[in-house]
Amino acid sequence: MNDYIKFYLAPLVQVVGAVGIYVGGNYMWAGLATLPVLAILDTILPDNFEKRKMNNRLLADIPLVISALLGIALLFLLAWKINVTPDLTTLQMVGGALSLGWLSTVVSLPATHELFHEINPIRKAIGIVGQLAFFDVTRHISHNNGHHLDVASSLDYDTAKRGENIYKFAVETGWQNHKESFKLEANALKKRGKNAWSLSNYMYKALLILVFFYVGVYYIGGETGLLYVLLAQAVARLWIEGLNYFQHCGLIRVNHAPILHYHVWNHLKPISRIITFEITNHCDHHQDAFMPYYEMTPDKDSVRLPGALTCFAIALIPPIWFNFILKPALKEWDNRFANDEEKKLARAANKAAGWEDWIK
Amino acid sequence: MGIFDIFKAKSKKVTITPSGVNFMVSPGQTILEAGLAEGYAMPHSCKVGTCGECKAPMVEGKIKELINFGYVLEAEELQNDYILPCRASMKTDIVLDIPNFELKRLHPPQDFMGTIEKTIDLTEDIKRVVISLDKEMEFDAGQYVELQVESIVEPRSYSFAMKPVLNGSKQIELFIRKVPNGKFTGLLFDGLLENKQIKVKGPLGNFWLREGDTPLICIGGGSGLAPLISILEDCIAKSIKRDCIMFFGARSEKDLYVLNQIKEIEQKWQGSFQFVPVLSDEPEDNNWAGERGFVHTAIEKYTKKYINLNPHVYLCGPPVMIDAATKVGIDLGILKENIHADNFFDLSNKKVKS
Repeated sequence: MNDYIKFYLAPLVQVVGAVGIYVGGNYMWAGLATLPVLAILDTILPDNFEKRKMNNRLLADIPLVISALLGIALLFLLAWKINVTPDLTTLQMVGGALSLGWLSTVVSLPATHELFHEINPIRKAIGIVGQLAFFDVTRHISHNNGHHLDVASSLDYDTAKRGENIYKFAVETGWQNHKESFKLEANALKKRGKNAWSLSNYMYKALLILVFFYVGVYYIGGETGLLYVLLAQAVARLWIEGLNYFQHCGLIRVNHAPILHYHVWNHLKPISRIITFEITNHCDHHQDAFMPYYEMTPDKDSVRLPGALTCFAIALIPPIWFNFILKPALKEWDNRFANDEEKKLARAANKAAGWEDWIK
Repeated sequence: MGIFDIFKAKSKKVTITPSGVNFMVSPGQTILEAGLAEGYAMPHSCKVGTCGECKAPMVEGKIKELINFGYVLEAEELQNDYILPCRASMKTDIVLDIPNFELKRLHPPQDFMGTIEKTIDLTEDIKRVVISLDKEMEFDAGQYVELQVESIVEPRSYSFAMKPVLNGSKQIELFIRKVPNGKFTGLLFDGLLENKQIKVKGPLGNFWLREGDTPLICIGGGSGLAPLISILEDCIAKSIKRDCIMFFGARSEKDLYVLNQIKEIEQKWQGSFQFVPVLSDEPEDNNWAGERGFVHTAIEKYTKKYINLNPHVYLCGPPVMIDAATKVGIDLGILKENIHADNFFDLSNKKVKS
């Protein structure tokens, strides 16, 4: 199949969620129902190492833009549906919110991430505003100026420490990312001789985006619609930190040392790669954030985790996640890839986590 | 002018002072991209406005910041109109002030398919590797290529160990040292890559001979001799006449290699040429009469006569050697901008040279 077409799987899955919400009733769960279907497919299919045969950025960006915009449109659709269908049960409305939480995580986040890294101002703006789907219009600041410099090192909020479970990480890293973005913005203003609270602060724009969005949601969906949209965003946000968790958890890098391919976890199952616009195959992205998603080369030689969708399910039970997935992967990583300095840090991290010392 | 031409975005001009270099930037292209495409050695690293490596003061013109420069630049730099050429959209033609801007235009890197034709043992752990390419590659002496085999995603970087020829070479030579547990060099030294197709990208790097007539101090360690051999043989081909002293740091006498090639350079060199091998681990009871210790410890003794002549220093080897030799050079009064290093651990592009 043509590679350009494959990436329409992401907006197609969003359309399944949209149709489910539009039809209503128990179909409100349709978006979430794509999770087990996609996860099973991802588990069955073998890892995929193919490099995409794509070179036209404009064409490749179309599904990204559609997905980023659909992410917001779906929230309005949910609000509208709840408002015009008084007989929806609480469970059905929760189903709608969970469906959108899932779709925002697996589709909106990767699409907006790819777009906010671009220099084209319109696509970049769509990427920034599209983050509304998961209640975060400031992430691009800390992501670009924090995560990309500090990945896998002790300075990175987006790299979970060894032994840290997904729940603790999801709550803490979300907050830390907001704080970091606020700090970067305030410092940037101070450097220009302006007060951190001056009107030039981007955070006011972020606030305005949020206000316009919620006023719109309230107008269309009323109080109940607004409540379930907030629930969908909160679910998405926690889930997104989960996706974040699988990308680097437990990895080690000496602060400020060069970033290499092995400072990223790879999930190279075909569905994971396509539906997340290759974010599960992003080792090249940390070496060259200028590189479009379709140019990234899967790392055959890497230690690989199961498909991202499978990881979502397993990590919810930390003892199984640590003992059957993460520890064996880290053991291989430490002994195959870590350099001497990283091994020292890894040994200390294992000790701090109460894990055995497996470093040879 | 057509009626719709007013809607068409136009290319804008970047001028670099004081060199006077200028180039055009197309709509949708960054200043950095345009400069690199023209073959200029524009300073950079991340290309996305996070590292600040490309920063430069703008003395004329207007730009729009595509990211908030305040996240990266310091207060003083912002006050002095520094910009990030990797993340600036041009509103008008602009002038950037980059005093040490390299005027040299390098050959833009391209992708090649190569075949490892043969390997020749130089020492126990260093080989001369000959690779044939599918087309001619033009390069500057001192630059390097990236090699990539299908089974390993991370490319490996190795310097040319030969002088460039007019219109490019279809066969290139490199020195490759075996890295303990190294995946790529493991395959190579086990003979598993012979006659195999590999991807070759190049030429890359900013290590090449700067113009001048002052003495050259060349310091190489391990397989770091390759770019120095390339530069020195190129000097002979171009009849460049400069005094030169060449240090070669190795562990023991058996780790010294290409001595005949160095001898030949010495014989053909136009000017004085001195070769100083320095051994760090040669057993005391051996009858080695040359210098002992780490290579940087020998620099002062041999270069005193050149220090007041504004020498240019070229360093290639492991980071610890580069750092130590750079410190010695600066302590001796050599200007920092005249010390050029090709680090095995190349932070500028975050690639590890093995």
